[in-house]
Amino acid sequence: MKIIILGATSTIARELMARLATPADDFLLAARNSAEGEACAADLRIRSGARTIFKPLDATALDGHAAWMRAAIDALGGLDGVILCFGDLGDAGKARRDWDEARKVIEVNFTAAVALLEPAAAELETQGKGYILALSSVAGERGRQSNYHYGAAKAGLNVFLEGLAHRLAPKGVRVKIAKLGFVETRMSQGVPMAAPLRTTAGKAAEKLVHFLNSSRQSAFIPWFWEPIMLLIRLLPTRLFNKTKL
Amino acid sequence: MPSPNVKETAASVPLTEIAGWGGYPVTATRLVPLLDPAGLGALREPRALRGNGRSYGDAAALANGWTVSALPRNRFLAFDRERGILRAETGITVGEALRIAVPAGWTLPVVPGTKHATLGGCIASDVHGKNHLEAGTFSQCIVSFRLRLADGNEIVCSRETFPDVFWATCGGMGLTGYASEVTLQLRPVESPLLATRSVFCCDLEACLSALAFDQEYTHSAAWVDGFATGKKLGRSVVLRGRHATAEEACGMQGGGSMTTIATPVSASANIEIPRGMPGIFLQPFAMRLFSRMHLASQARLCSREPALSTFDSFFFPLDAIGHWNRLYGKRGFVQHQCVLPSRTAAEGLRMVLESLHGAGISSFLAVLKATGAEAGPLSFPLPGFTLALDLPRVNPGLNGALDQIDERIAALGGRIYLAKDSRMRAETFAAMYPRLAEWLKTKKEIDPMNLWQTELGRRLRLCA
Repeated sequence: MKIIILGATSTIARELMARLATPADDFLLAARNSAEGEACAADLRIRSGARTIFKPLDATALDGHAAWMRAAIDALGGLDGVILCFGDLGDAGKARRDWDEARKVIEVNFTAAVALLEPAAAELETQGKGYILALSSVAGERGRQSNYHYGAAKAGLNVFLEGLAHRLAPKGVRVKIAKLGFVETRMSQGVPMAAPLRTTAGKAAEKLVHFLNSSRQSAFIPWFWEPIMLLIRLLPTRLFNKTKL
Repeated sequence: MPSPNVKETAASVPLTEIAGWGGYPVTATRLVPLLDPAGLGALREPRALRGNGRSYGDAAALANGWTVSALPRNRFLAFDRERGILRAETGITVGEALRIAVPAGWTLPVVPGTKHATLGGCIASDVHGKNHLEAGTFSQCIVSFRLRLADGNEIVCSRETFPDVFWATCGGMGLTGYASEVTLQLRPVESPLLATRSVFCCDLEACLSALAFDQEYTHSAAWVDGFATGKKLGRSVVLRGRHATAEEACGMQGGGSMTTIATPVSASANIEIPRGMPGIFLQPFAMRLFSRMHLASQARLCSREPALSTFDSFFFPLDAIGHWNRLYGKRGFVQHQCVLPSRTAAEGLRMVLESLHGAGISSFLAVLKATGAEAGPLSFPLPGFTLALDLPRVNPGLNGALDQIDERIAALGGRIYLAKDSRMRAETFAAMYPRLAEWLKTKKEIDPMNLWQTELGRRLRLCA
């Protein structure tokens, strides 16, 4: 399998790659930080025996994304799957005051994903097989005061992916949306969250592998976020607006 | 994204209560993942380093200060499969390293009793294994390591470059700096199995002679019956082992080979003790029962014919029960590991076991091993024998009894293993480690402000 991992230095991405890679695979790892990315590529090669290459990627350099994806597919010599792992929670408080912060959160989580996944989808559509797996968030289920810029971007991403899935399903290409709850990663450091709702990156990665091999188009990870988010969505606005969520 | 290099976030990182493997003492600390090692230089505050939390006491925590977890730094950087040279970040665990190395025909020459220790922890405690007589401590397989000093600069330490820092760091309990990357010389193995044989010993003398160096069976350890007294004191089963040849592994496993035994070292435990498990090892009756059952099961294996054993069952038998430390309940337990020089070993070991019996303190698990040459100034082993005991924290006289035992061990020329320690007194410690002054001199040179601190370091005046 020839797989592109976008945001390969993230904690979940590393756990996921370690579980997916076999000596028969080719992985292209993309991340902003070259030193970290190269180290992650070497690590995956040693752990799994897969062939790995690293290609630097600045998610905010939106205009270059189509060409970047073309070059990445050429470097791999084909494409069987794309896994979108990058995301930026940003600083929710700052995003309210500072347009640059708000724009960064929207661009990284939504615009960059669209710019990168559309050309990848075109490639998969032509060959009539392959998958796109995107790590989205439960934050996209209902706008909440604590992180609505991030939530809006992820909600946009979810709708984009649903549309993509709708378009590509008849062509044999699977588009899969993983809605992650609270996972202990670099991104979530310092975010207070009740212990029972937390999960480790390793456990989340295991569930992602299971989800990838299933026929479902979208899933909450871990599963219990599905009823939680359902309740939050169903909460009448008058009540919802009184909560501190 | 709080990390210790961002000053403003100090208030936003709450105090978390953590403990070592023994569950005692519990320390409230600001635990943060090490995301950017270069940023450590900007942190001008005391901080402790922590790996996977497998040292038993207070060696990897700093009360009301920063405790930096090196676990996120866990990447393999290079592996030369022809020459057996592995370069890795130090958040990698022993088990992870073996899972890569063994299928390629290599092994770590020295492994501790748990595969969950990080390579960083192995350096800091300069761990030893069942083959210390032959292979020495972990430092023996280190080619070099990168060490991030208190001033933020990184140096490469080896036996040739910065040898004093190299030796102060091997066994230095993480108080000299952050060893970010290590290069290890692995040892070739023909199979992922060990050929083992065990001997039943009826008393201490028999046990000590059975542990003597054996050219062929280079690995050995004894399970000692912690409840045997009087003439039966030291009743034990000595387990010996060596790496099996490819021929043996194939023949005895019905054609099993390196490639067919997929996981020489499993990633998960067979059973997991849940959080909040009542401490059944606090009941002397249960402890006695388990101790006898364990010894009986080991004795059953005694034979002249070599048997085959996996890495997991030979090196890491306790890891088969995930979180076995929870069997000691909320109050935790104290591990007491001493080494005694050969000439006083019989006397000293008898003294330790009898003093504990006298104080009404019993140990489920007692492991006796032979040890050889000394290494760094704070490295634990010396030529003689080492005894490790797990002691539940139920008896109020435990600390006093152990303090007395420690003093007598020091008088007999022995010492206590810092990786296991949670309670030793600074004076006793100084009497046990004659090269302490040499270590303190190096510490002062490379960390004059004492930025690298731990609770253990404070208690034993290594960073005060």
